Amino acid sequence: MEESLAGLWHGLQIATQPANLLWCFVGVMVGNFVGVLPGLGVLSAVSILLPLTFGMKPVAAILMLAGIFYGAQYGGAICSILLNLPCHPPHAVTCLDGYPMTRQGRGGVALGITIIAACIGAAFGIIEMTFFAPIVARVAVDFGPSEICALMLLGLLAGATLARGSALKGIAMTLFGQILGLAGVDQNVGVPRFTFGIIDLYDGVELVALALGVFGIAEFLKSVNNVVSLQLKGMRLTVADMRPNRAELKEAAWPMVRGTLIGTLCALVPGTGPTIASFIAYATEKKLSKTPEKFGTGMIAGVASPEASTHSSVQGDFIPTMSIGIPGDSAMALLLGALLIQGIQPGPLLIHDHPDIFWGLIASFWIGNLMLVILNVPLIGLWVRLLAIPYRFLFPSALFFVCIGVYSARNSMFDVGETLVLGLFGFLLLRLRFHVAPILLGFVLGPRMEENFRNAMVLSHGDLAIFVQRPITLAFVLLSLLLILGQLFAAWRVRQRRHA
Amino acid sequence: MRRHILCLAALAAVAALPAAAQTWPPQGRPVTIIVPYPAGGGTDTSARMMAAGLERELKANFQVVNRVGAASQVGLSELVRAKPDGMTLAYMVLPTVVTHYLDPKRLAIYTRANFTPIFMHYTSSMTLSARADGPLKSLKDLVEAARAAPGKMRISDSGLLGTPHVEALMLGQVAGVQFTSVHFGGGPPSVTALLGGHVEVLAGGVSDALPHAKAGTFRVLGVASAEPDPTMPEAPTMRSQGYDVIAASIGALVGPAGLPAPIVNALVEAGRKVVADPDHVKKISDFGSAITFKGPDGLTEVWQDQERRMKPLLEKLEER
Repeated sequence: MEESLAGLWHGLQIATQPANLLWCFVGVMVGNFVGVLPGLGVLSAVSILLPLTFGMKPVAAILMLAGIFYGAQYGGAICSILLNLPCHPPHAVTCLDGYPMTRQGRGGVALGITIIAACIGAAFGIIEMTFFAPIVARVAVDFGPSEICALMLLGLLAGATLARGSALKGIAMTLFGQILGLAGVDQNVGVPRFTFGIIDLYDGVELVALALGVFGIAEFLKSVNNVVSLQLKGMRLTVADMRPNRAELKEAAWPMVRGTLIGTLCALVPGTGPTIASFIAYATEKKLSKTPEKFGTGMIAGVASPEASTHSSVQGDFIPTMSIGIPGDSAMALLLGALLIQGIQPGPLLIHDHPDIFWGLIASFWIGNLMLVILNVPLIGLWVRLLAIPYRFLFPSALFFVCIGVYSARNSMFDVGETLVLGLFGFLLLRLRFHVAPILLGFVLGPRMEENFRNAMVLSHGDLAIFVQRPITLAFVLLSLLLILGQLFAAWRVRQRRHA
Repeated sequence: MRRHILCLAALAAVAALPAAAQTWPPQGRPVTIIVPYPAGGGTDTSARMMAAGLERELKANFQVVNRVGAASQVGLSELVRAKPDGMTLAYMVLPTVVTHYLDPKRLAIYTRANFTPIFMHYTSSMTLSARADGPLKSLKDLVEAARAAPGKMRISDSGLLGTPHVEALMLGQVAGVQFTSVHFGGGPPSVTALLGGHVEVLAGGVSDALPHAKAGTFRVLGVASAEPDPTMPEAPTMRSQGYDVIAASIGALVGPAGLPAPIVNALVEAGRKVVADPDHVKKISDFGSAITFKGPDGLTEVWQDQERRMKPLLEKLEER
């Protein structure tokens, strides 16, 4: 504890050096804008800026690149809430209740809530990294394939409630998402599945393409015919307009805490990341809510919880990356690459050998997040005013940015086409009154469950007992069972009452 | 009239070919180097450093473009479709590219004949590591354990037919034992698997094992190269322990088939100068690789050798 505080103090001295402050600011600024632009992901932004860091000092380089990473999360929710356009996969689930809030003229409030959620989530994530990084890193490696598989199963079961309306349609969409997730070369035996001989599909369908297609483009196509007049009451938006009132804050408080906890826990599990965290957070909120049927119509809890989980998970993601040198995703891997280019070996010795980098980074998280809040509060008014742009201009320009963003991820025209095809398909589904959110859930969780199930089977030499012999796995399996039983019990009670 | 113009254009194109070779590299237009792997990784960084060096030596623009996908098959397919005019080149990794066309399931549109080899740049050796607090102290311990209980020894790797997997397959073949390979989606999760004790052994690059060997959590059982690796000199080679396994990822610059010889020669000359720079050598070694520069003939030899080694491994894998 004392050691951590001393480290943090040391880090603050490094992070507040003028040059480092400046680079931190550049990082979070770039990140914030990258987050707002549809499709342009953190990964492509960091790869574009990576060569710039070759001539920089190691601390400055890493502060800046990390700033892009968490800065993007602040911008990520804006398009989801205002345009139903998930610029950034972790914020896809925010569309579900954020966009309805905008249509009710409460977009500013939703954005205000995301900033408060971001503060709380990020603060928890940073505290976790400051004091518990070594413990977290030790626990993280205990998560083997069987644990991850069981956790994904739990997530899928909890998320099965994601759809509104027909349960059958919801299940169908979840399964469809899982099948879509199977596309690509299979990890264990190398068989191409659902690739139709197209090598661009060997790595599967792109998550960004799917999210932008079925949410953003589909919604655009739907509203092209019946342009909704957004009720922008009070076009002269001031800070006061986006300040949630007391009742709204009260409504958001517990969901934020729960979201933060879920995000912090997801940071423990290697490779789980903010997207999965946000889905689990949303599903949990809906499960716990007294009015689950209202989710999807502009519930504040549906915005607060996933947003808090995303931010805490993003900060927490740095823990395995920096303390044992195991990156949780490809953007983190890029960060490690940047360290290597600087001649610094990431790994378990990093904290010891390069305390400047580790503690400087943590201190810069506090500073960077503070900068982001200051930046974003006045900007909300500006973003909301975006909606005043006539639809006939807003729609084509957003579409244009979507194409550029999707293209930039892999320099691939194929991905642009993929997004458009998925968008048309999503439009069809919307017309048939299917909800598209479960597709994303199945797509994100399903393939990870399959991969880890098969690896668990290889590890146990085909013995299913691996799922009951390991304590963490067993806990997740039991929770899943409990969830199923609870569901069955509820259904039974409803039936009893009807008979009585 | 139209036909005349076409004829003229064709004539002009034929006449321009040798001329293009002479004036290569052109001023103003950038030469594209396709890197079929993501930015920030070992291949990408090495390629970018080479591109910067080539710019310096040839006084021309070289632009690195990442075309990621299907374990480099997407980017390389784009390369073989490009015109062999020296404006499009690519980095490839052996033996990965060999597995593309030796595996009919992958429907690769190329074989070795569709490329013009230019030069071999660097080599990253593979390693096998176990937990330092575990019972496996040497390669012999591992082989004996596998012999006593076939398939009981589990080896994590970065993916099916990635170089680490190939290394495990080779050891199994040389020693005549059977391991259980567990494929993870990338290097990092395969390292986690050994850290968490989910497998007995990790097959991975030098840079995967090095930080944990330094921290004292991993013991490197063997390095699959002819000489000990300079970054971990105390780790014994597999050969020195009686198992003739050489497995490494080899990064090389290639062009589409039919690249004119003058262009190839110019690139080889420039590349040779780039790798002579000590700073370049140091940066490459930070990524766990060593400079092993060879011209087109040397590269072809290594390539053919890889094909010979990979064929039986793939056939055996197919049988199972």
